[in-house]
Amino acid sequence: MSFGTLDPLLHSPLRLAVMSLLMTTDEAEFTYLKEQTEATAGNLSVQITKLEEAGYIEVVKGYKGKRPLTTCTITKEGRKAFETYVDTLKGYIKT
Amino acid sequence: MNTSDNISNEQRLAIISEMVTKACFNFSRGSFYFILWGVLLFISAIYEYPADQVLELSAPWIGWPIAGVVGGIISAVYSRKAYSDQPSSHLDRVYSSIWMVYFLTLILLVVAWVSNKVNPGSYIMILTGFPTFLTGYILRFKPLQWGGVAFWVLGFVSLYWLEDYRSLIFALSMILGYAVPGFMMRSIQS
Repeated sequence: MSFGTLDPLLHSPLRLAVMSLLMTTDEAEFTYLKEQTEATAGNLSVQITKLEEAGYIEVVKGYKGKRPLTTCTITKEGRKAFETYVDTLKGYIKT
Repeated sequence: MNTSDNISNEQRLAIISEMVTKACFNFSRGSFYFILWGVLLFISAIYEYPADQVLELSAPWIGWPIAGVVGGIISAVYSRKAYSDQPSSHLDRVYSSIWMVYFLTLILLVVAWVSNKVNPGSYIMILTGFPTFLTGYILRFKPLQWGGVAFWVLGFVSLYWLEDYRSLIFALSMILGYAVPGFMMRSIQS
């Protein structure tokens, strides 16, 4: 079995961390994701864009009062991709 | 967190586990309500016993609406603050739903009991055992499950055998059912 069967998009630790956080929450603000992953704003922003482009998450940009607010939500497709990734990963570890 | 792409599969699983744990039910946040209501209702029950049995005041029950209003305001302010910058997990939503349904049922039943001149104390304890036990079961937190059992047992005992001491038994149920599990939740989180 090769690593090719694992979704390369989720192979990045930061993207994997973001997806893991979004799996357990209804939605999460950018600042929350930044705090939990301890990533820089720039790097996190790039990875979120990649996940959004893949259709794994939805990103909504708005305002909370006068403060800009970016909110992320995992999509059905993203949820399925994550579950498949975890199952495959477990399979690798068992063998 | 290790952000290098060259990490092992075990490390990838560890990242998933770490993030899911961070986002799961916040015990510290949940414990706040148990401690708050446990203490407030304990004070109300402890006040009612001498006010009714010893001093024979005209409104020994006055502590209950005061505790309800004070607890309601504090809970609302705390919820607003606690959930403003932290997302709610699936367990948070389940937890909120259980207690919202319980609260609405409690209000309707208290109105019915009081209007029918039935002392609601014992029935409130028995009813409160349900969401307390269920929350403990869902969170896999034994002290809350035992807290639920304490509500059921004490409610039943006060209904049939120790009617005169109902207020004191209610106070005890608040300690065993709410306050003790609440403080244990807090210590787990820290």
